[in-house]
Amino acid sequence: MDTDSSCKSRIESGPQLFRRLNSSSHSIDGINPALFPNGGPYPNKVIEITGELNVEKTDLLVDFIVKSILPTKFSKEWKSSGVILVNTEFQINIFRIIKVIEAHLLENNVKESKRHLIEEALKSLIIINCYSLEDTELAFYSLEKLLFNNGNINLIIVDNIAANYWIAKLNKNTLSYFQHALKMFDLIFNIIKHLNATLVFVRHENKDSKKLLRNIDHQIKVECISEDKFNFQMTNFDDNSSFNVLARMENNILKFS
Amino acid sequence: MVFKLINDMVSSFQLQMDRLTSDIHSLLNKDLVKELHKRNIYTVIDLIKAIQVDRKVVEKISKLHLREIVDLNKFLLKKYGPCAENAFEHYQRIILQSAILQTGIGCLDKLLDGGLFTGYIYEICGLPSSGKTFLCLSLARHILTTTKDQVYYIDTKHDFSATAFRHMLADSKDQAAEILSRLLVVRVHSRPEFLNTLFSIKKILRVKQTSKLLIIDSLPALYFLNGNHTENNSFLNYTVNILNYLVNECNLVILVTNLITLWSDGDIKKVDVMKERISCGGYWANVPNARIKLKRKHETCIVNLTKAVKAIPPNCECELKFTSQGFV
Repeated sequence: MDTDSSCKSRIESGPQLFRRLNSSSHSIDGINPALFPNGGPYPNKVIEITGELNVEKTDLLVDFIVKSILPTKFSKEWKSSGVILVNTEFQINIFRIIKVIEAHLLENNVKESKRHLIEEALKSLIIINCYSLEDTELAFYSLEKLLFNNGNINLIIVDNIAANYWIAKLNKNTLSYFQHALKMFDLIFNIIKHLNATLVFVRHENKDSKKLLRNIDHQIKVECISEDKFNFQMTNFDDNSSFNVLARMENNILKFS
Repeated sequence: MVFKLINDMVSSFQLQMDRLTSDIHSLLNKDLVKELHKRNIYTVIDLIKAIQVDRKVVEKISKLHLREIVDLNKFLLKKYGPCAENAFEHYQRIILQSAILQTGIGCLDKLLDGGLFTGYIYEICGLPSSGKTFLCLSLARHILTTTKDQVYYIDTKHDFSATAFRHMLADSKDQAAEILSRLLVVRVHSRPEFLNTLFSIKKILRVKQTSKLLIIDSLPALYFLNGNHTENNSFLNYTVNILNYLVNECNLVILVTNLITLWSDGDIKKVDVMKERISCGGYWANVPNARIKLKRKHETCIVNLTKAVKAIPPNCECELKFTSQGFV
């Protein structure tokens, strides 16, 4: 009898089957060659962005969003792909995204109508604003249906996974920040793990930060070198490799070296 | 006691919204609601969780078919879940309502890239007596005298003086009474009262947008009401959630004043070296979208932009002069 787990059959839900069969042509592979020199991120992979509380992490999130939704015909790093943003911290807003899109179009010397390109790019982005812990949980529960209804979505962004920690702690005084992040991560991971989307989420660093959440494939630790210079420490848990990437903010664009 | 009051009050808001009752959906009849309550499923979110975690148990309790449970789940998520909005539609919706409120102070408008943008929380911080309240009153005066909008002013320090504000309106003698009638001052004495006020403002503005500016003067007066770290941050968390709702869904500008305090490292050799620290803790530090720091210098006030809605300009400083009608 074959006991190899890879040979076992897996029961799929309708949305999982639909996403598996339909998402082969879409991927955000190649979105950031500096952070993913060997290709990726691939579907069903999980990326954690972490760093100290006062270090700006949303610039990298906006970079992922903008490069995903811009049309691939103008740049290899642009992916013509859909994105869901679960917004709990409200440091990312539509005007900021538009500003970064404009900067990228200018940088790549795109001649087509900017207004039309911005409109088309924004149509690929779904924003879920969450104003309470319950909102965040319900947003996670609604992801399966959203992914099923929007076949081009390959990226889910959560800023941040441990939002509303202090409200959760009010109900359970012994709850740590790590435990809360773990609970919320398990909730979203169990919903989307077989839906062929990449998950990128933020978790602020604290005294528990050395503990790792289960099922993370890549961790990017953001360190601020100066006001507009950052160091991204990338750890790949597939092969336990780690390297540093420097970046600077120039005209609203993160430029990696 | 304060903690309990906050908990009770906020819970009551949630329960009104989320508690399972038979009028939510035709499939949720009275007997089924009773059965669900017996199994500790009291709220909409409890039921959605139960359906997600173990659909078969819910099938057994409810005696509903799988299809009916799936439909019920979809209905509850749509009605009670947060709205998933296409970014282009979101942009079209907010662009119609968003505005830039000029402060009436030329150099400050320049520093802020045009003025105060709706949809953002601005923090005004500084040492005691640096001019935070005076700047708030100057901004309120400018909005009230140049528009027909109302301005909400939540006074937590109980030092708002209508007489002093009346003096700032010396130029508008004929309209002073009408202008004053549009300044809605709420003096709050406790955290529940403060949260209640924010919920009331939300309720009013959802019906009609009569105001674009809410001033909270000041947050530390409420934050330092007790010394329990968890209670303080829980209170802030509830506050931040409702403030985010107000700026994003009601298109407000929110100004919050906050204290800067001076701390020594405790090193005897460096007893004169003091470090500045912004009050209300690490959780709050990341909340404001922009931070305006004030420093008193004789008869003027130095303004420094330490966090900006867009990028911090190369020259991030300007100087304001005190006058009887506010800062210029």
